[in-house]
Amino acid sequence: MKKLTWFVFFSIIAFSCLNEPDCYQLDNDEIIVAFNVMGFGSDVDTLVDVRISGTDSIFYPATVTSSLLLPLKPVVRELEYVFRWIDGSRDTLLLGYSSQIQFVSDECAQRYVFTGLNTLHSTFDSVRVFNGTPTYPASTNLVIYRCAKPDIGGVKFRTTLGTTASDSVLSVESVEPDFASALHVLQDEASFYLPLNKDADQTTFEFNMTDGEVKRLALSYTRVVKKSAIHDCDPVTFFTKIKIAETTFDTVSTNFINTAPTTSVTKSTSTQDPAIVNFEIFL
Amino acid sequence: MRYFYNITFILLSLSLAAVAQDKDTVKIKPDFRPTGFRIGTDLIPIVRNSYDKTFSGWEVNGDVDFYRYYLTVDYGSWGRTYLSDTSSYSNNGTYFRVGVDVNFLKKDPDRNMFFFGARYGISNFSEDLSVVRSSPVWGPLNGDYHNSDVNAHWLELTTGLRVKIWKFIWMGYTARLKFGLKTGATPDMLPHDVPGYGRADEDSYWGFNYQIFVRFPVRKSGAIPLKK
Repeated sequence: MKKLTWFVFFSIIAFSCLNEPDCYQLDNDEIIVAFNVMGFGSDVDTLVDVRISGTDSIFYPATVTSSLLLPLKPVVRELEYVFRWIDGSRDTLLLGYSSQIQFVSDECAQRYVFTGLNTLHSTFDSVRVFNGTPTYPASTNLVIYRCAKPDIGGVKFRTTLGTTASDSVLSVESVEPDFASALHVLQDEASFYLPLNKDADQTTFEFNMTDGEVKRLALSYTRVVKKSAIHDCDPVTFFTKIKIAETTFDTVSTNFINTAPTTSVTKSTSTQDPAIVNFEIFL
Repeated sequence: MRYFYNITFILLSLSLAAVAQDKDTVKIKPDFRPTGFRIGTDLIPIVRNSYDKTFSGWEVNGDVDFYRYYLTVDYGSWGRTYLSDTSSYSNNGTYFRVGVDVNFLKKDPDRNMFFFGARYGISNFSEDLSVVRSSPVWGPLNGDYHNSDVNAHWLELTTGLRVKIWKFIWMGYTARLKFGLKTGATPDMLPHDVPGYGRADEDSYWGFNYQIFVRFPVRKSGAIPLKK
């Protein structure tokens, strides 16, 4: 009887250890790509979308984000992502990895196991593989760096009715800077992001309004050229002490944004990368 | 929960070992010459073959005594077949274990055993997987995968009992904690099930054999003192 008790006891232990896997999210098929600007930190809100070559799928970042969740394709060993930025430029990243299938159980079927993330080719300034093995939940796997280009100033137009200030969305057909710039002026409702001339202490913009009127806005600034700490990046031109030198807008007042970070390079009187709204113009 | 079972199992085994020690001890010179060998089989796969359609297998076991130490070998084969909604899997292969058991019932006149031991296991197997799956992003992901002639090896800690049932017949069980699995390179498909070990994605795995043996004596053993 005593021996039988021992047999039963050990049998229960043995069979209780035959666990079944949890079938939920067995694949580690997603990676997080984070974007950084060298010397400035996170590259926030500059990405429009990401397309994967050979598919129709488009992946959009969250409203304000410096990272993006992207899928990995099973079976293949490399995948090309095409990144589209708000200034219209594109970058490509050819990502290599190992993909293995594994049967899990008759209830869970199979899973795909991804390892060995590596960059085969990219047009980015720098790509760092932070974690070569995707995890679930996904964590940051790749950090993409780009050289800083803090050569865009931001202005926002506002109006005051009584004691209430509100954004003033101008009806603008186009904005022309007084120099040949590779960058385009971007309008985000009441805000305009204006490329500044690295070769002059002032840049003048002509706002061609939809009613045919032309308004002028001249920004003056001090230029500071600093060597980049990153070997692959060109020297960076910082624009500081930005102010309105001249304007034909019916300006009541200007107000530098006070909520900007307070470090010396990120004062609202200086350009940043990604660009910020440096000051508001009250009409 | 698994750790609880592990600890409970080890503690109970050690308690049993402690109880098994005789208070009276007489020192005799150990005789390391073998007195016989046992050949047996695992009854669990034989029964399992009849009711588990996903499993087919067998295992034979043997040991030979050197005083209280037993050289043990196991040889077996198993294959599995699974069918899921999107895939079908099958494998088959053979395995071999070799190791040593130490009997803690030193003075039992029937040579019953309560033992702890260790094993080194090796396996050679093949497996096939067919997948019919579609992804909203990637479209069809159908494929056939095959791992052929894959080698694997692992280690085991064992404990168990061997009890003389009748004349030359012994029965008993072996519980085994398997760990340290290493498999050969399989570039496209990770192994699911290694014959002799179990699920390849588990860092450690329990195994259990309920065995029956036939003992073949080769010489008479020396007298075992019962009482001082």
